[in-house]
Amino acid sequence: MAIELINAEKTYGDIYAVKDLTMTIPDNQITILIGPSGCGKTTTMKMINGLIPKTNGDIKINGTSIDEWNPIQLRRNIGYIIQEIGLFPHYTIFDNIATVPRLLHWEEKKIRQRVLELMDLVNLDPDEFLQKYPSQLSGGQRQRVGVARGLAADPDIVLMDEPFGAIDPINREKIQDSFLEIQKEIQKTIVFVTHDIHEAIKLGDSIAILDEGSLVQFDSAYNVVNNPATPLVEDLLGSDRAFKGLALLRVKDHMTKTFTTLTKSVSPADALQTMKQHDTKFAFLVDGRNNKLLGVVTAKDIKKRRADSLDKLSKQSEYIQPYATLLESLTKLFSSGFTALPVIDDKNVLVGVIHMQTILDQIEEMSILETAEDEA
Amino acid sequence: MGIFSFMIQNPERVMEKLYEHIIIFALSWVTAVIIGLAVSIIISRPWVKTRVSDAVISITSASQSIPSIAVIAVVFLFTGIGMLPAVIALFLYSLVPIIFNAASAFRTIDPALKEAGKGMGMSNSQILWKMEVPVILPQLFSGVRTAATINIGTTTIASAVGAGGLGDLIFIGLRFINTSQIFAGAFPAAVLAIIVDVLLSRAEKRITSNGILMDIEKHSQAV
Ligand SMILES: Nc1ncnc2c1ncn2[C@@H]1O[C@H](COP(=O)(O)OP(=O)(O)OP(=O)(O)O)[C@@H](O)[C@H]1O
Ligand SMILES: [Mg+2]
Repeated sequence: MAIELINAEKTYGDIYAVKDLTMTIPDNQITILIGPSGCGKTTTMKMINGLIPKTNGDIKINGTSIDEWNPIQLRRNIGYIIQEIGLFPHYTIFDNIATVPRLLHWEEKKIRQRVLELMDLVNLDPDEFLQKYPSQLSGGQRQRVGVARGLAADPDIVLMDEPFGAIDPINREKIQDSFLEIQKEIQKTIVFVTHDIHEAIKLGDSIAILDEGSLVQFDSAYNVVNNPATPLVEDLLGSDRAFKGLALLRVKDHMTKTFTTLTKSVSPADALQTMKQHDTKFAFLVDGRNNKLLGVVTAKDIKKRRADSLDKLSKQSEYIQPYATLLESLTKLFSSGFTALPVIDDKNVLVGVIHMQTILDQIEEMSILETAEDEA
Repeated sequence: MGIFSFMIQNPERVMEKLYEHIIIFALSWVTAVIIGLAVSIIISRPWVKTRVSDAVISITSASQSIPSIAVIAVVFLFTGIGMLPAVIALFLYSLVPIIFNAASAFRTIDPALKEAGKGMGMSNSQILWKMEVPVILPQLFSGVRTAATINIGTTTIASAVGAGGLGDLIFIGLRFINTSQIFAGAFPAAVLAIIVDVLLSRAEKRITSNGILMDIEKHSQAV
């Protein structure tokens, strides 16, 4: 379902909340709206589902002007996750998520199945949460329920207004990762508002920057980072723009799939031999049956501690998800002290390894650095 | 013993007066609940000017301090004596706490809830009945319960305009300084008020969502 804004405007008196906005939002992709507070992000979003009537111009959903859509039908087909979350306090978490499917008269069995799917998606334990009420949840948990509720009826278009704003940084990164992973499967047309440039670069296929109601730049995330159109966009990106470019690159595209692993049955002596052969000072220990990551073993520990099994020698390891960015990997690498980081999927299975050198090479390759040098 | 003597000797008369009392109360109170809720809903719709709902809330707020006897007296001037003026006066008097509580509650609903409902494609009446009314139930009940308690008490005064009810026993008892007859009017009225309030409080707990009850508890702990 395509969304087209054609010279769309919203005025309050003689103030423009949104001014002459023309953009075609690409299907099946994540489009970010970003800009200073009050620049018209929420207004743009609400004009798309008709919550705020546009003053001028046109907005077409699937080729049909929103003036011709029945607003109630339109909104049931567009998922909407509001900035203030707005969970119904008198509904359980289950009933909250089930709201739109019930409006659409889905069968109760199908609803139940869908709710469970969504709880999994937003990483909340159904047994613990489904019968609770919103007032019993933390802000971040509520926000995740809000996301689940917005996606419940499987709409083609989803409008998300700062959906992860209330979630703590660690959980936010996780939910962003799983959000990307899901989007790969569900391929929704998503309009996503944020004021966090990291989030914009990480999630956005394309990024629209608004300022005082006008569109300043609308381009792929890569082009926005590489060629900011105005000083405002440059400011938004910050002085560490080169670094932020790493947030455009995903671990899954840069990890190596050929790497040495050890299992518990390998003797420490053999392990040492293997490491020597592969010219490495550490290796990841996995469960031989399912390849789940158990930890990391270093040559130094084997030599020093002389234990009889690798199990006793292995240490907990930092890890990263395939959809995380190289920027996040770099941070983790620094804190782990190793030169490589294991990449695991959501079932804890080791699927690859990302090397420090790969990331350094990427920094060098980025054209951002060149332009940054030119300017200097 | 002495104080129960009138009740023991005249059970039919007490029952008859109690019955009248209940009729006057029920007629005036039930109509007040229905009309009061309707008025509160109407004045809290977005198409009603804020000035109008402001006015209604201020008027109901101020009227809560008008003595009930004054309302009865004024209605009596227009309609004469009998059960009807009593019912009309008590209806008006019960409306006040119901509208005041419900209308104020409708206004304080978080706009984000309405916006979320609308954004999900709920119709206005779905938003009203599936969200707004369930959310304001505690305040609605608070108004309805206050109205019931005041109404049952005030009905005794309504006997002064010839409405009947337990007030008849009290007024006659007062004239003859017959304590047990006064008691025969006052005691059943008090018991009735308590029973109605307990029943309403049970109904409130049953109908109101646990999520809302928890919110209130949280809030009262914080205060
Ligand atoms: N009902 C209204 N009446 C008058 N002005 C309004 C109204 N609603 C919004 N505005 C103005 O329109 C502009 C855009 O508001 P909008 O809510 O779209 O901003 P935003 O980009 O979502 O900001 P934030 O990041 O703070 O959420 C703001 O300047 C705001 O003050
Ligand atoms: Mg906003």
